[in-house]
Amino acid sequence: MPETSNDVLLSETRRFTPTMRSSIEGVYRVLEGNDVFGDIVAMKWSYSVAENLTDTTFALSVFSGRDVGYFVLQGGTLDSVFIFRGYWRKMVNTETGIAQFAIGSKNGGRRLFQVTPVIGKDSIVFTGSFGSGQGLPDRQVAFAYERPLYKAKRFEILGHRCGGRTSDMLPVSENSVAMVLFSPQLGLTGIEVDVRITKDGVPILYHDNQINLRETQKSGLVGTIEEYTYAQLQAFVRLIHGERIPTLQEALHAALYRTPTRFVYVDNKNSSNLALERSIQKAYMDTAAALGREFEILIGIPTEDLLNQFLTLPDYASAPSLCELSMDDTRKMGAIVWAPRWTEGTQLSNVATMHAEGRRVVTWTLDVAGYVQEYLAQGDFDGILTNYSPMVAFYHYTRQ
Amino acid sequence: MYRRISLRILCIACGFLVTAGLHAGAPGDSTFKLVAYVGGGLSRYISVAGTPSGMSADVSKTGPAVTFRVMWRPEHLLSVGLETGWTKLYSYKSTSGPAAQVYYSQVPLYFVWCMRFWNELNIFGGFGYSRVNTNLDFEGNVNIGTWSMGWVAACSYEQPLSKTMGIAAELKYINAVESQDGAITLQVQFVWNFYEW
Repeated sequence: MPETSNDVLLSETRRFTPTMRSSIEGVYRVLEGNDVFGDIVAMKWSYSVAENLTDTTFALSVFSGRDVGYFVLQGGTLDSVFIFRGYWRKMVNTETGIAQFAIGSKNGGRRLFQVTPVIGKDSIVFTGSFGSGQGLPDRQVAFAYERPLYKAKRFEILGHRCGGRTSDMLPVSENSVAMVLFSPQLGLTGIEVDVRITKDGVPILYHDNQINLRETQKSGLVGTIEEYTYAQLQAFVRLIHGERIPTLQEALHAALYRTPTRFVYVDNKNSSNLALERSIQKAYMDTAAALGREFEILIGIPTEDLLNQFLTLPDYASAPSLCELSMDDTRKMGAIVWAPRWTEGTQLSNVATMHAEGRRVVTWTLDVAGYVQEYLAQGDFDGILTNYSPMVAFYHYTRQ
Repeated sequence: MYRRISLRILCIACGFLVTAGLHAGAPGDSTFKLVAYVGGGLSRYISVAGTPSGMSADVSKTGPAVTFRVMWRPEHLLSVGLETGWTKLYSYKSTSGPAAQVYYSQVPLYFVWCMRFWNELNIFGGFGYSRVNTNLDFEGNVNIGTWSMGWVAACSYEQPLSKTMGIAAELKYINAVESQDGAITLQVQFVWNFYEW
């Protein structure tokens, strides 16, 4: 990823107001750069909060329909010009580079300063350029406002492994607090987290059953996570980008207090301590409710063994949960979300049955552009779990 | 999936080498030997010795290495066999904060073959799996291992001491590929033709 954090011009700008930000969001027609980014893009804001819980950074993500391309931009105003700086990349290859944009005063900049700006077709035009790698931006790109983002139906875009896989060359490690904070920039409304239990019973986030070089830096430690205590993992294991393995609580804390994430799917990778998980879930959901924050944590049940363990919880019926098993199992455990594999098709009648019972349906793990389009157009799912969230965000927000 | 394919390749290669060995000598007029190599020496870890970022550590990349190898040697230059042993990879101790130590080693289980030149020089090559082991001493002790596919290449000079015994000096490179652990060892080995028919 190109280094873009030390932009001098950006440091001279003033922050956008909430009205400016919401006015900028929308579907844009690509005027220049169609060969790289397709004919339309979707722009959406996200934010993350610093560890001190006061400093908020807003990022404008631009989702392209071509090769899972996206931009992540930060910006501000300079006089009546809107300045944006950031990077672009494509998730299916190694293409990336620096990007810069402006909305000139006559291209919508002056309009965006109004108290209630009226935004319509072509009322905002982004003009800018993008480059390759760390090189200066040298190729022209321009976007013109077309229409608002699709918001007719509540839809969850859920990111695998806290938002994305390490193998997709993201700048942060999968299943890390950094990935939780990064995930909204990828268009995610929610995350799936992989939970394992350490030798001393601490729920932590880690996907594979072995400490390996795919997920961690070399440390001389091998074997299963479950053989080590939390203190040992904290002292000796670093994720591939140098982060420590987080506890489930640390990830939930980051999601609740430091991002707009509203849905957390807790995927249990081994015979978890569901009673402990339930108490953590309850504590964070009570806190979220007290804060007036839309935030749900669902205990994921992927196997019969875990289902039986879940049914022994005294309050399982009131514990928000997600079932990857059959519809009958979903009913049996009182899950509010049924999560069938995407390979089982759109299952319109089953989805309608679940909806009629007051349950939602989320399918996993869908990474194929054609199927994403088909499932959004013809299916009635309430969310998609994916490794390519910018692609799902693009197809969802550009719906009409 | 990767492991299943690797195991399949290993089985096919073993079958090929055994079959080739059995058919190599003319029936009835050949002598076959089983030769044992037992040796020890020093290893030097040559891959990147990873330590946790932020931990100030004293790293040791040199340590002991031992080899046990049995070769089936017919009356021609190529022989096949099995090798195991033990090699220290690297270790480190934290030099600040609470006492902490990691000792990292491997036990190979390799199928090897050997080509003999001028009666004294042996070139070995082989592949298989290594049991890569961690011994962690920090707030308790953890001793655990995992399997890593790997390969070995070695060159030894062998000096006969009697009709059935000899001594050899061997330079070996051993590489556990999946865990990215490579080490060079220099060993002195005792060679014994312990069975002949």
